[in-house]
Amino acid sequence: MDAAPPVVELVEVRKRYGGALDDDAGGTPVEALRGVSLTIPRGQLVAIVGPSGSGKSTLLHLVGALDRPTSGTLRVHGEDLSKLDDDALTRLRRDRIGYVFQFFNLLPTLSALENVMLPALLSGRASPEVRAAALAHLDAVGLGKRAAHRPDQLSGGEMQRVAVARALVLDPPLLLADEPTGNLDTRTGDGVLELLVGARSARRTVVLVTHDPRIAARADRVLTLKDGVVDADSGAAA
Amino acid sequence: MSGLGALVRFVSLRRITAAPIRSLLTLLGVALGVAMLVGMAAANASILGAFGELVDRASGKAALEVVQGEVGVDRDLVDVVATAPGVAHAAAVIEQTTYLDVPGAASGPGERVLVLGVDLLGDLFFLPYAHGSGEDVLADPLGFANDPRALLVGATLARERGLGPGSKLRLRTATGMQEFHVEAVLTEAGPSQAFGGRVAVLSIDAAALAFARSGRADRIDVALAEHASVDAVADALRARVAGHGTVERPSRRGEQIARMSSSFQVGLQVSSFIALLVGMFLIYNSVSIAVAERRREIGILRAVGVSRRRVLAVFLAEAVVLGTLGGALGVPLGGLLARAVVASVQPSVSRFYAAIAPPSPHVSARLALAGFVVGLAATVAAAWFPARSAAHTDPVAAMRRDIHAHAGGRVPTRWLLAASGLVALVVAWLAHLGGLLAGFVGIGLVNLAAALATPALVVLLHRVAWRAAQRWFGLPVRLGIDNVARHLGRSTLTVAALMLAAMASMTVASYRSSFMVSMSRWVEQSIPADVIITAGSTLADQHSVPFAPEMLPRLQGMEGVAYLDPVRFVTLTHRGMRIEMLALGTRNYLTRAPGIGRQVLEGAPIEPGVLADAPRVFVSENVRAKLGVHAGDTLELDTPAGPRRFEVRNVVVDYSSDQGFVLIDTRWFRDAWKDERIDGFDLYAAPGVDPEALAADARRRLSSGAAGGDSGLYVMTSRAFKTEIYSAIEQTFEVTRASELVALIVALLGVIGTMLSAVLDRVREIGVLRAIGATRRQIAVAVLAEATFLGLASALIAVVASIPCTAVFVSVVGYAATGWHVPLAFDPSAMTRFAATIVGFAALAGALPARHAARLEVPRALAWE
Repeated sequence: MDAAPPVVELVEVRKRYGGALDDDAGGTPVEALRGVSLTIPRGQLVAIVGPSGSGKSTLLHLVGALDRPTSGTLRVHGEDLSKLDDDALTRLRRDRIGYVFQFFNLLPTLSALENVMLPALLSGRASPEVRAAALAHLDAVGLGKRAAHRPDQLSGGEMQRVAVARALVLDPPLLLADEPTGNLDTRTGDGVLELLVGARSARRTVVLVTHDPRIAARADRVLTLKDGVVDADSGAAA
Repeated sequence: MSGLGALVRFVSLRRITAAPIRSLLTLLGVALGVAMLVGMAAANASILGAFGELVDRASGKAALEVVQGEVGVDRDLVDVVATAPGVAHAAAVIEQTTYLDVPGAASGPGERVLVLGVDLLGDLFFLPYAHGSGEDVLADPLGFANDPRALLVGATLARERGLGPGSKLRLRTATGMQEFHVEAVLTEAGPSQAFGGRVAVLSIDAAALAFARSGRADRIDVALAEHASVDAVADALRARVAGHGTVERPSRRGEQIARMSSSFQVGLQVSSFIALLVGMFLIYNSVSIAVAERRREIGILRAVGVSRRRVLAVFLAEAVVLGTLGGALGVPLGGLLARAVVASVQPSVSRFYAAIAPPSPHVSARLALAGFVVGLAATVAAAWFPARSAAHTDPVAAMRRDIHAHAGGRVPTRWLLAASGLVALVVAWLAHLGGLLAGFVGIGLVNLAAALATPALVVLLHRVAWRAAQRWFGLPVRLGIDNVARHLGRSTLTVAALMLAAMASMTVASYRSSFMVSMSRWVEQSIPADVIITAGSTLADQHSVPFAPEMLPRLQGMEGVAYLDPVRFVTLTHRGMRIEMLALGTRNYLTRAPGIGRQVLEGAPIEPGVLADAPRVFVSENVRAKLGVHAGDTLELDTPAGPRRFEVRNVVVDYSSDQGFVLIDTRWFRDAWKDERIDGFDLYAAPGVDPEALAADARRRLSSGAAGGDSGLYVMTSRAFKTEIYSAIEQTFEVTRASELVALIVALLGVIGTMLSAVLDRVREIGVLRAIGATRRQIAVAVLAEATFLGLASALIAVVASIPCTAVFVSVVGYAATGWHVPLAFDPSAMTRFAATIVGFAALAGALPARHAARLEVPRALAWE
């Protein structure tokens, strides 16, 4: 057993959508998560898999402090998210969580370097050290020479590598990725996967949502969700 | 149901109801555009109708009339006219607006009424009460004719003031307030409806006595014998009255007045046109937003087999729905606007052109239809380009979920800038050409040139703002500024709409400032008297009630007065034009007027006695422009004693009348026009005498002493009089304020629409920013920065563009309308105020979208599309 507190801890977490959020107040509420309990210790590479509508993305959004559970307890880095206000949640995301999206989502008006620096710039840190760190991360993903390029001058794979560099620039202890290779061809996807696998370390946890069995195969632990509950957990016995 | 019908029903209509704020904004934009058009047209019609009524009110049955400016025609001329071949009826009429008081009535202060003096012993054909109520309104017509204190009142006036047969009331006359009694009340018909029904009728002799018209009338109405030719009779009359009067069709007077105020009316039309233009920008913007917002939906429709033509038809159908609703809303709004416009315009029209009481504006079915159709057409035309863009949407690109899938299209900034340059050249040519039409077209083209140059200027300003944001402000501001360039087309449209609204306001402010600066200088140099006394109106204008000559002795011998000058200010008709003539003691005036020497445009230096010693006149530069007369020429003017010739001694700067002005010595005026009435007394204080004390003494001497005071008697110090003139000039610009406000509101609705669209376009991007650590505040700042930049760019471009616009307005339109060369004088404080307002309002307009953006739920934003 890992003696350190878990990075992520869910106890009977439920998430219900409906009404205002979906502009569907008159429709039947949808329960995306139905009592999920799990813990993710530091340094694990976890893959969340499952069919569409199983609650994968909802789980990732909750863990990423983008959303709050309808009921249950969710702790990230030991913080009970239900007790944090929006500013505190924002700070948590900015400083301690990195996020990689399926559609890259780089800001088109910023250069690759500026995109990588974005979390630091948003926190008001625009020092030469931050710039150097961002350049180092771009170098690490093999794009040091394309720092001045804008997203529309980069390929899909390059954009996703910039997105990985951005997610890592503040050295967050938790990295989340939502279908990170879903919009890439196999070869490019493999390159990005290597970056994500390489990002896992003794002090950094990586959680990925994926349909890709190759990614799942590289994970330390695979969580299978079905109809809003954990159907299988390869790490449960560990 | 046809395919299109199903699309409209299930896609468009549901969208309109699902996005109520957006639909409401578009609706308001169309409605305000239509309201401006309809409102201005209805207001114009009401004012024109009032001019027409001016003519109809006492000459409804007259086919011709004999007039001679304000000094009037000799009443003996009636016999000459009546016996002309083809003339069936002829009667003299006196017309005077004055003040009325009802003693003891708790019905408020004195108000203006129209007094008609009619000849009850002559030809009764034109009698105003013969309409409707019949002659039985007077039990004793002969007694009425012989009673100088008897009058009839219109039904409206009677109702408002609680008057009936036997009631007492007081009228301002040439000798002060006098008491009259009501003989009968006229029914609401014919001339008794004139002047909003506030009419009193006296016998012509009583009117002549009351208003010091000894032997003269304002006109002689002429009705023709059956089958007589108007032209033939007019020619015969001209031969008979040559040199003693002018023969005109009554409608000509209305035409003259309407023509005089044409620049005023065109100003209204230009304002409404600009508002409609801004409204079209708004419509374009709104439909563009609908397209941007629904790219994915369009992509899906295209993917499931909806043709381009059908997508185009769907968006146009939406435009038709919004245009129809907006038009239907705009027409009644226009009616309300028209009332506000007429209320604000009426005082200045009355003061400067003719004493009118316009009827409540009425939006005719034809005007309503025209406004509706124009609004609908404008909506469909504005929707065309974005609808076409929607139709050409690539289904695959539309369904992509990447952030940069939705960048705006390219804007050909250089081509547009080149086109702007070409338009500017045309403006320069039009300015050189001169004339009212060229001026207004020029102003329209300056607007066009500014709009065409806007994309290039926005790009330029964006670069500057971007550097400033990068250097001095945080990332959120820069992200907001970045977004301007990403959607240059949309940003440009918003900036252009705001810029046009701001430019119109700045141009009018600078136009006003140019006139105010020149006029103030002239007023300070041209009014040397210390106390000025008038009656009926503070200025000697349409409402003035001239004093009888016998009032002069009341002021003579006043202590502390160095010089007392009885002044006459009359309107003359010369070659079909109206010219204002001022008659005063010129030897005194030219000695005391401090800056008269600086106002000379032509002719030898001015000596005090130049106008007193010989029949000479000064003419204003607009008389020179209209009549082509120069210093040394002879000006021949009609007088009651026949044509008289006057030497034009000098052409001078004078802003007394935008129709033309002539200064003459009282001696020569009385000699030629035989008119001793007095429009005002100019009092010059002896050294060390307090003008206030002088004014108090004069008031006491002129007062009738009757209870209830002296309505319409104005005794003012020079400073108060000058302030009155400035406020009168300011009043002429009042009308522009309503249209400025509407244009501003329409433009601001555009900013709200644009910023909502900007937020909708970037929902996913905002979600990403929030996911990686942007606070709600940072998101709001980015949106506000973009809105503020749009306002700032609009304000800066408006400041620059208002300079040529003002130049054309002042030098071409102003000169064509008034004949005055007025030097340009920009109003930096007003321009700064308008610029600050635009920036402030734009930022304010960004607040709602900023709040919306800041409150977006992150997971939902990330899943947006």
